[in-house]
Amino acid sequence: MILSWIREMVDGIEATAIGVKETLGYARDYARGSGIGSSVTSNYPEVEPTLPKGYRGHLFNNIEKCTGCKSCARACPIDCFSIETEMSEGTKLHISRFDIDLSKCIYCGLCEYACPHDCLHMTRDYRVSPTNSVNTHGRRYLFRRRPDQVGRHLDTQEMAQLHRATESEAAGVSKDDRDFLAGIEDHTKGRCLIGIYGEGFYTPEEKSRVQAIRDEKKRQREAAQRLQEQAQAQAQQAPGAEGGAS
Amino acid sequence: MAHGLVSLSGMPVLTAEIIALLLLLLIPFGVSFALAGIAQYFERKVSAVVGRRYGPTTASFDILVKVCIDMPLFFLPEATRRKLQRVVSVLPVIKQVLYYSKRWGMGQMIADGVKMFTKEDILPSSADAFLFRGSTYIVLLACFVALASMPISQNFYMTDFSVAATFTTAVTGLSVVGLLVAGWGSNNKFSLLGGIRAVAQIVSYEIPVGLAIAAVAMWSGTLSLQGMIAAQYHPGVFSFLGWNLFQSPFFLILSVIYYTAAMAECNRTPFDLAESESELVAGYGTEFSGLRWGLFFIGEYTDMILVGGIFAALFLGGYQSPVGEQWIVALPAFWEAVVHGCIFLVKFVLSIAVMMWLRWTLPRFRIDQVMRLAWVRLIPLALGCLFFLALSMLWFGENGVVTVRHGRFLSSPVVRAAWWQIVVIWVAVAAVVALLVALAKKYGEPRPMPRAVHDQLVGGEP
Repeated sequence: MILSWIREMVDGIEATAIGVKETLGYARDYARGSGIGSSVTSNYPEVEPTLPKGYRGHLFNNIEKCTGCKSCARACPIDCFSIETEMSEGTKLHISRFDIDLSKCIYCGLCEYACPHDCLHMTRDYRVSPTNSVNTHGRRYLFRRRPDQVGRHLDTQEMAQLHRATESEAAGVSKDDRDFLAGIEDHTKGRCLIGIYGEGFYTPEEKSRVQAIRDEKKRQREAAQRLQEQAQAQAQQAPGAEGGAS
Repeated sequence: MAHGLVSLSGMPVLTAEIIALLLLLLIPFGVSFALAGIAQYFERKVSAVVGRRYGPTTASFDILVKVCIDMPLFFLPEATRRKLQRVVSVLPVIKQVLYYSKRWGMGQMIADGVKMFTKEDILPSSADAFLFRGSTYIVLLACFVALASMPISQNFYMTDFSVAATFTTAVTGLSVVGLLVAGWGSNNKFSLLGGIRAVAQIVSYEIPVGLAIAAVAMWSGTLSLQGMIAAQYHPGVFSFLGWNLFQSPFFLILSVIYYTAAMAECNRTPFDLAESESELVAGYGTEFSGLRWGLFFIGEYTDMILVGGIFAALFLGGYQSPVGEQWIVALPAFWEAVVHGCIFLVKFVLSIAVMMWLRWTLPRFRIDQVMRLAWVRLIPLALGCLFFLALSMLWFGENGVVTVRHGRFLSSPVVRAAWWQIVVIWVAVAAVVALLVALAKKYGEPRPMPRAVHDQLVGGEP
């Protein structure tokens, strides 16, 4: 009986010693690996993880090349695509909506294989978290839609407005939108996820109209500049004229 | 009343005394808060090392720079203050401090403190407000008062009296009342269960702690902590041989017993049944939030620091250096206090580090295992050690009686054995223990798991 009593204690001490030895090994690794060498976690925001080859991140669709064939939507096992197309100019297919619900997406990459025109890609970007409170809506971050615009078909005018929002300096951008865009610029550092609302969303008429507006604005700017230059020139001439008079 | 009740400043002496007392009270509070903050940061780092993580890496001391410039120079415009901060934070030393504090995340201790202080204090509507609020103060008071007899150095300590060791255990035991009151006052079944568990556990583990202290008191002939340390004085270079840990093999066993039992008394993880998060939410602290919860937390860490200090004093020679004590004693009083204080700090930091290491290594015991460990293992073992220690002291006789140690008169003579007697006892005990362990490994059979537990863990319903 007393031997059992001792045996249990010896077993307990041995078990404790095994555990303590294991964690002491971790501490030794920690000391050797300059403090962080043995860590199994990563210091994420400071140090970005090295992604494996063929990493599948967020989807990106080059809308310029996209024909709206909906192969991706058919290949998708969980239906996260919402694509709507319209006929414009009678025969040409115009994509008026191309949304990917990233909260559904399982990043399987089947859509990428299905795409016949090689315009849908999985990027290596994995970050959805924004840098300001306005962008906390993930889908909005990716597709530049406000929560009230998500899941609804946008008409051409709204689309144009959104596009102007991406131009950032254009008129009609609310403070929210500007903050949001600033956040995007800050966050993605040039890795553009959002090519989706590129020029492809415009009907050709809309495109020409926007171009006309831009040209008009450019002309106005140039006119203003010219006026300013003239005013400066006059101001420079004026002292000379006075000097001549006296 | 002969000296009059009115002082020069026109303030009644009694009032002045009370104010002075209250101000003095702030010192242990501040010290404990700071110690608890540092211990908590230390614990996070230890847990990170053991768990192969990073621990805090982001918060730095730059908040201190901000506060130190913003508060005294509040009258300057903000832009100037920002510029000043930028200038200050690139000064050579401050830059290094900020860099390393950021790298090691040392600002976390300030951040955690601020978080705790600014959280809302919630009083449950069904709770007994008086008991609910009072319990935190009882726990805190128990820990703070026990710090009073911490023997930091030969001449630097708050108080030392003839029963300091008993006093410390008695006052620490008071926290039982606080925990039970907290559980009862919360009017919540988990809190009450946690409180009852805490009481059962702490009361059980006070016995092995008391037995270990009794053994040391018997050996040194005093209950004063300073006296116990003085009794471990050993002249010459190898002064660590005088420490209780090396004086007798029974003290080695007793130190393990004391350490385990004290860890259980602090409610730390292998024994944290009282506040087991996964079963009882947080035990007696379920209903507490913000600073009130923080006070329990501070109490726990202060308790830990206390245990580290007492452990060092009882078994590791307190503030004494392991390589020759006579040089340090010869120093001027101030430097003596500094050197002794540093040695004491190293000892108790080590013992706290081991406590944290064990916490993050071992899983939590079941309640029956915890109770069995106290009553079936530690208490008989401690009693046996006490008995054999007394026997060995009888054998030593009166041949090494000393009354003056370390320049300090001991209240009673110390029994000190000849070196060959100590060696004989070490060898004999080692041989007996080795024999018993070998026999136990061969013939002893571990007790089978209780049927109910087995069913629950292996076969039966979850």
